[in-house]
Amino acid sequence: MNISASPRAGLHEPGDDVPGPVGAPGPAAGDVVLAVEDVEYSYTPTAPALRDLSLSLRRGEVLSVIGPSGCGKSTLLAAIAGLVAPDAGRVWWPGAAPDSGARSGPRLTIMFQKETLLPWLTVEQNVGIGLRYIKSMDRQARADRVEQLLRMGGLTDARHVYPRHLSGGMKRRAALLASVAPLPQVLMLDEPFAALDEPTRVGIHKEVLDICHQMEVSVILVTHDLAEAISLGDRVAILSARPASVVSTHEVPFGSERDMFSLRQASEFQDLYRVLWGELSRQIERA
Amino acid sequence: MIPVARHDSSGVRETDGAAEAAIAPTPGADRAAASARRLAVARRRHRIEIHSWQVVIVVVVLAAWEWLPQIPGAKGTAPVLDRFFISSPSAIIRQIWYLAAAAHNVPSIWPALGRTVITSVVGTVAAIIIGGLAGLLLGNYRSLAEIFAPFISALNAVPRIALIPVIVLIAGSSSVADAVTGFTVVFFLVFFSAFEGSRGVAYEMTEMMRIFGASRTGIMFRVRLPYAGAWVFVNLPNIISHGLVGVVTAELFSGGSGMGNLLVTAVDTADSTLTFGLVFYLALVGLILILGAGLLRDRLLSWWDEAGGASRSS
Repeated sequence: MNISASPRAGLHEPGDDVPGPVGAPGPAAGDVVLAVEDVEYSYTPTAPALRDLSLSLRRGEVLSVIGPSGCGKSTLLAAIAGLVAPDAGRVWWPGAAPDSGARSGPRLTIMFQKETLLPWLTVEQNVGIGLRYIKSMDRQARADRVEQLLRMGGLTDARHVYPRHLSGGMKRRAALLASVAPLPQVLMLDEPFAALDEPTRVGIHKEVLDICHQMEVSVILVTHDLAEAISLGDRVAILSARPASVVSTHEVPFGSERDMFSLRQASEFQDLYRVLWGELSRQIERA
Repeated sequence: MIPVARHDSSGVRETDGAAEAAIAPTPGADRAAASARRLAVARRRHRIEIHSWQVVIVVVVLAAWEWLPQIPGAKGTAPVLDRFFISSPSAIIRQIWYLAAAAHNVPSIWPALGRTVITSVVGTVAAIIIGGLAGLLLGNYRSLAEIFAPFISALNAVPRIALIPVIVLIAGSSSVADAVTGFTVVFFLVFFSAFEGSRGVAYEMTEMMRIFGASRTGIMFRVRLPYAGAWVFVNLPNIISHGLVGVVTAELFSGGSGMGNLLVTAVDTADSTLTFGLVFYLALVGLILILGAGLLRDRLLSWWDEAGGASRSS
């Protein structure tokens, strides 16, 4: 199986419990994978976290979501993942039955900022942990998938190593591979690189984009780092101060073949950064 | 090869060859090997220094114990300098041999020791299994924990030794009563270790597994159980010593045929030499069990991050 030639087709095994291709076009665009419509959520009646929040995720894109600290970014991810039930509005998947739930299969996975590798499992076992719940996959198919992912992430030599022996960057890569292993349509990244030092973080950005593109996975990246949001995103959505709603969404005019190190010095990058920082700083002042 | 760096108990940083080569100013096999040799020599020297001090301390204590009571007038100064109460190392060593060989009209220690050890192991293992599972369950199901919280707190507040008469009344003067006492002493130690380990699992880990499709029970066995087990195993030396203490205390009360009964005999006959001989064997057994538990723990917890616990390994 050749990942680079036809990644998703190559990685799917017959009978995989993986959602099929998106069917009917969504309301916003023909290629929308996930739609969040007018979602509201409050932890307590006096503490609304999300208000009339709407956004859509296109197939194969990276949507960066950025907002003031504590505005409700992680709550948004929890609502999308089905970990909290919205008080109003809906999260739905164009092509699937509305409100069918995001946890019915490996349609969506998440990578947290905090370490989620199981420390008693090796890298290889961690990468394959989500595949154990795909009942239609046999042991050989799981092993093949893990093998390909390890190769893709450059972790083949570390396959038998326990997480405690990995560097921060390698842990993040292993966690990313574990998150994409079940071939989700959508991967949510919740400030996944915040704990890394700057050079490691910028270095891993390119790998993340490569892996997500190869796996044909759409990504929602929640971050508090504007440069990271622009570097990785195809679009950047700016959230308001709490309760969060989408203030604006901006296209990022860089292709998928980005040089992460030189990108930040480009004048287009700097211009976009200034515009977005202007909007973001207004929300930060309101917070 | 993944660079691996760790600290041994001496605080000396040790690295494998690949890691050493990676941190050397000018990478090369010879330089890495020389550096590894230097580290090995430094570690050996450090160990010798530590062991030397330990030997010196033992020799000084034993010499003081042997000869201080022989100083004229010392006996009347304090009971701790009276051989009637503290015996002497030379007499105790002879007694240890007599107990092992059943010589000089001293009864053989092995039947009593065997009974006490087996009873301790049975009580402790039962407590580890039952207490561990209870801690795991209540750590996984929050509502269960809320229901049982007051009962557990109340039971934990009861001094377990005070239950011995009740246990002896129910189970009779038997190994069962002694094992049950060991069980009650150890149970809550294990329970709270497993409970904390189970509850301490990072929220993100359980949510990730839920998103992958794991059920709550699946998360309990696949994620919480290893953490609960790790916490129990980390406390294993403590758990074993408490189990032994519980059983010997029960034997003191119940009059069974274990080490506790021999200790009662020694005290009744005011035989301090026999008492110290029995204490030596109990300490030896405790030490062997604890060392064995430590080896088992190290083998099972090779993944554990000593720096801050596995759940905080990020």
